[in-house]
Amino acid sequence: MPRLIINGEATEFADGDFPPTATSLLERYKLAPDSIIVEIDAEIVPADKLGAFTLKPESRIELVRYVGGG
Amino acid sequence: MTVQNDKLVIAGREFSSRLFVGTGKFSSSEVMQKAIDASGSEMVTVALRRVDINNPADDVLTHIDQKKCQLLPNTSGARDAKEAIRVATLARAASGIEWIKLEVTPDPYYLLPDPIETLKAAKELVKEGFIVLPYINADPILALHLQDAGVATVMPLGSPIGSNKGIKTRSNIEIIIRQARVPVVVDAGLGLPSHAAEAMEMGADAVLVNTAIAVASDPVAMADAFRMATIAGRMGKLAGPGAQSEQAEASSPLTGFLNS
Repeated sequence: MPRLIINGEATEFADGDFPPTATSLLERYKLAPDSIIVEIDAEIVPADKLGAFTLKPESRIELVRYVGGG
Repeated sequence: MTVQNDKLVIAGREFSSRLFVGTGKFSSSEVMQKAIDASGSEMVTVALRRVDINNPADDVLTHIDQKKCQLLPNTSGARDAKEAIRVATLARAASGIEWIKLEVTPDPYYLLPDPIETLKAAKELVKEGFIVLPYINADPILALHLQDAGVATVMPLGSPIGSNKGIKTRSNIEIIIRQARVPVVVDAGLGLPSHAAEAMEMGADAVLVNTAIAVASDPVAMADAFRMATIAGRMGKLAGPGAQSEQAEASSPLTGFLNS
């Protein structure tokens, strides 16, 4: 089954269920794109480019956001 | 100079408040938001973390009024310069904000900052156009090196992060303040409003407080207390304190006693 490495963890997708773009991945997890930073294979993908960004199996994806901190 | 027209300027931005606050450890976003309001702060720190994709938390930025407050992302969690630069780059990509609180803490027990990696990261981040506010141990020589590298402030610690112990590094912070060409912000360890006042009386330009406010029984009241203490300490410094003396100096006249 095709996989993505999301935040360090391998995540498998059933055939046909693999998210085609970065936007579809965010939608899968109900994450609002304006509050998330997406890095794919060590490259930051700006919010307006997420829809056009085609995901490939085995890509390393970091999804980060601001949280409370000192 | 009165406290009304006394502005703090960092990287060309003017601040009326000299109390910076952190947003960690609050029991809820609502309490955090009220505490920030009560603190009067115009500089608010946030951290960057991986999203828990199965349980995405509330977006902290929706609770911070960025019209009033400068957002100051930190590099907490970074253990070396490389990680700190990566976090800073992500933070800038996330928000377009070039301000970064640089912290490099390889040791999770005391969370003391690594001076060598901090200097290395500061040089690189300044070169990349960031406004760098480094969190450091109270080391006057390191503070000078960082100023030479072009940082916007230096932020020496009073005592370890979250320890609430107050200013245990006083003598060295005094040297840093004496030698400073950029604002000095006492960061970490301030546990009581009196600690903030002490830092300001010493001549610090600002203080940064998180844990002491967030873990208080009433964080909003504590934020207000820190607000007042920071102003009080600053006013005390500007008012020009009298000299200390080894012996008593009578406050009342020493002539015209009734018993003579």
